[in-house]
Amino acid sequence: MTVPIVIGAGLVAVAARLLVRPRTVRGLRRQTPSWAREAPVSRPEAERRSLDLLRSVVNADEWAMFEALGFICVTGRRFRADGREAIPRYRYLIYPHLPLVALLPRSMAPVREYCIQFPETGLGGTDGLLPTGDDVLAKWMTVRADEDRLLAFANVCNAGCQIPLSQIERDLRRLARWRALHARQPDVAPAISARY
Amino acid sequence: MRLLRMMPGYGETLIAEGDPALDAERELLVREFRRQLDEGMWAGVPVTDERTGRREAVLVTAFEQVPAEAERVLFWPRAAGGASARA
Repeated sequence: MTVPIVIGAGLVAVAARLLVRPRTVRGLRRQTPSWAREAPVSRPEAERRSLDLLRSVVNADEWAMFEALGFICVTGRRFRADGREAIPRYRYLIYPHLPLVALLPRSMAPVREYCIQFPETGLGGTDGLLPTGDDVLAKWMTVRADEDRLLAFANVCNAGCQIPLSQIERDLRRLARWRALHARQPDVAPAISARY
Repeated sequence: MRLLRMMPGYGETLIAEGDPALDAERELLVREFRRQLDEGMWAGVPVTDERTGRREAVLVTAFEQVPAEAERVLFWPRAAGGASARA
């Protein structure tokens, strides 16, 4: 007799919590910052926006690579104290929501994984990860502007730690095929979306 | 110039917009720029390399470092070690 009463009371408590819960986008519960001019949008809309933004910032060939392969291969950039550009440390495979895979610039041999995130901690959200396009864009901008700055914040481990070496090798073969195919085609115009 | 913040649940969202050549609007842009950095954001500006025509990025830590011709300044949470297992 006691068990049904407890279960019943539990169901009532859950239903009450759902009824009084403020209306939120599914899966997201966060405070809206004071400076925000709009309410959060649905996850698909946030994903769409983030991909639009990524397309509007990166180079057309990099966007095409991302569309075709699901990652961007980019060379890092760093600068000396006097402002002159230094020799890049690595090339990187930038996957969304996965570690950066560092490759030796010439041989393209995978040597490190740099585990990095951009967690939103100040808004009380239950999902603090940036949408796909934003995650890739944050990595791309930092790697192209100052790879040392990004690496300084990353957790480092050997290549193959989270992304299997077999996947990296397969992706490098896909990249080589993709580059060979696109090397024969004239460069396309920059892909700027209407929004920007 | 538009200040845009990349954040979960939004994609990017507009923080402020204005012409930095106008004093009142520049003041607004500077204030909002500082607020984002005070919240721990990193700031980057999409630029085009004049020599190569390639799109690049510049990280900035003060509004004065933003190139005058910049149309957008993007903010995102500072990097932290670790990555999720989600593929």
